[in-house]
Amino acid sequence: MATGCSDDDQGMPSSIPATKPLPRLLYVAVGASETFGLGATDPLRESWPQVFYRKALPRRASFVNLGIPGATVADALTKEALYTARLEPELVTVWLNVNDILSGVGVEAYERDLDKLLKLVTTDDATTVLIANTPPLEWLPSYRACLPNPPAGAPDCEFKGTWPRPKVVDRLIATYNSAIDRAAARVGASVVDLHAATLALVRRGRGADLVSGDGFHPSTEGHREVARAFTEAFAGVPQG
Amino acid sequence: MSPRDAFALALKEVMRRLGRSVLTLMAVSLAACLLTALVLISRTAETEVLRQLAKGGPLASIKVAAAAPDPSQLANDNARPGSPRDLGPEAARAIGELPDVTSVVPVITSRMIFVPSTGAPGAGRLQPSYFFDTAVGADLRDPSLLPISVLAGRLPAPGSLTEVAVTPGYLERLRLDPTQPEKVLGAELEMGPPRVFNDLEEQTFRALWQRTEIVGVVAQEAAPGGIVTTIEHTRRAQRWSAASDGDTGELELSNSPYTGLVVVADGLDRIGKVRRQITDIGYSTSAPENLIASVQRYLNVVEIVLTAIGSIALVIACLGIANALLAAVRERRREIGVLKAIGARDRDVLFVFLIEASLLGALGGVLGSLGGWAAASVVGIVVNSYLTVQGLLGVHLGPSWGVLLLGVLGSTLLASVAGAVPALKAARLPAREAVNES
Repeated sequence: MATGCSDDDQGMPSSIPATKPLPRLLYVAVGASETFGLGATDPLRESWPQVFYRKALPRRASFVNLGIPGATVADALTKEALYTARLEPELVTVWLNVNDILSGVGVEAYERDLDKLLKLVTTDDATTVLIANTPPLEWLPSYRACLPNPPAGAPDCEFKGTWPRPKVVDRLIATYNSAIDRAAARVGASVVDLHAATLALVRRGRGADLVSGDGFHPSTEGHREVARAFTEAFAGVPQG
Repeated sequence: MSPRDAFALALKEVMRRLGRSVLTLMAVSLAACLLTALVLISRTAETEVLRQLAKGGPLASIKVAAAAPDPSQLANDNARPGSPRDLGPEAARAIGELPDVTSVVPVITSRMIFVPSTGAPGAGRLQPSYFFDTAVGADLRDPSLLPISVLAGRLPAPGSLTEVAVTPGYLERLRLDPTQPEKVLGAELEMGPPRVFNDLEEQTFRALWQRTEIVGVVAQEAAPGGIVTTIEHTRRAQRWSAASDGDTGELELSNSPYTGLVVVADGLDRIGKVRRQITDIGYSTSAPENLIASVQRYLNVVEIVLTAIGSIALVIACLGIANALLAAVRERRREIGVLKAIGARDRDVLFVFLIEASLLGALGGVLGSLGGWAAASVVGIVVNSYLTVQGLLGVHLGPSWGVLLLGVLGSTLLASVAGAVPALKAARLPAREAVNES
């Protein structure tokens, strides 16, 4: 009998045109516990670098989170920065300051190490670096818990010894942020002004929404606001 | 008598006894319809069954594993592989150069973490919000060489790092309706191969995250894994994980450049030979050759039986033509006598009756073949609705011109053969006797 096979093209497409290779865009996040995602309900989805990656970057971008909880700049210099340099990313975000303040690192040592770190991660002129300055800490429940006569209902003080008074902390943060501005300027990095952004939100009465149950790390909403700040800073960077 | 006159006379006789002609025509049409429908259905069933066995890929495909062959498994369709053995471009080239090999497609798999984006269908049901699975990457430039069937959407574009296809297992994991695979198309899925960073303290593994869009839902047998992507994507993932420092035990990394190969032989009868040659090169293979051969044998039997049933029906219908024409010869004796008296030869009379029989056969064949195709299509619709509910790929019952043509020609020929006896009887009728008897 004559062969009478029906058309067998269902479900098997004819060839699909290949995509043109797109320019590489690797984003690496360098930082501490906030960068790692602590405080967010679902760090894999809601940590601020992940949110920033999703909202600010095109789909072709890939992303590595090297954040280490508890890391200072000195720690990141010997670990995260070396890995970052090897990866040669096109975009790097850096948020390393709070742990240095908590550890009592002097601003000169901080600035020296930050300089080295930024030079390491800025692998070439095409690397975009966004560096966050220090947000205000004196409004955090965990800070207030460490002051004499903590307010009722405050979480336990997590830090050794007692904290300096708010005005002292404020001045310390200001010197750190000046150091960050100088270090950023030396390598052409952009500063993400978390200090101003957080102050504005706290003054609008949104402070409670921004901090997680431990009184220290950003909440999911807090991570979103940090990502927003980075997104706005990134939008202001000329794209090469 | 010219052929044209004979045809006109035959046609006139058909129209003159319209009732009898219609009944005869209906009998032939129904029989041709039955035959055509049965043949179409059996042919489609054979094609679809074999396609399912081949999982959407070519029938003569062989899977090569990155493992040495197990001598005790050589005759098995799904041979258990022996010890791991690196499989790379050199081995692929050696296999590609075998005389009976049409194509070789490398496959690379990579274990990854997957996070459906918030708002993606079913993402909210996933607790925790991520899962581990294996991404299967292959060269998708010619998907017909791979055992992959598209259930909805399409395959990722070759070379793409931002497109993936998921399998029904993904739908099941997110508790989505398997009968509506298209609902997941367009959703975003973040995926990343893990890598050990020994110096980073908290959480030893870090992923190279990539956002992708789900562009298709597929069934695939290229390699174990729930997500299908391009080989470029899994190669990059493989390199990322391979650059780990420290203990990579949990990552289950393999040193083999390729996880496997999909090899297509020149034909079903070459599979055994090619498998032996690949075994000689030193790799384990699997292919459903024994299963396909058995299934083909049984399907051939089914086709023979169904064709015989249809043919018997057609023969019976053609006997009806013979009966009708015999009656016509008796009724038209005077007419036959007159024809001969005015100069028609025996063969002219033979010709007229043969044409009459052939006309009925041809017309019945055309109507019957078309009706058979329509009947088979209705069966196809019913079968497809069942298959869709089961979450399986549907069948495609397109027009098979060969079968339709055979139905028409077969009916015509059988009708002509059936009409031969009455035609001969009419042709041999002496003219004087025919005229006097009337």
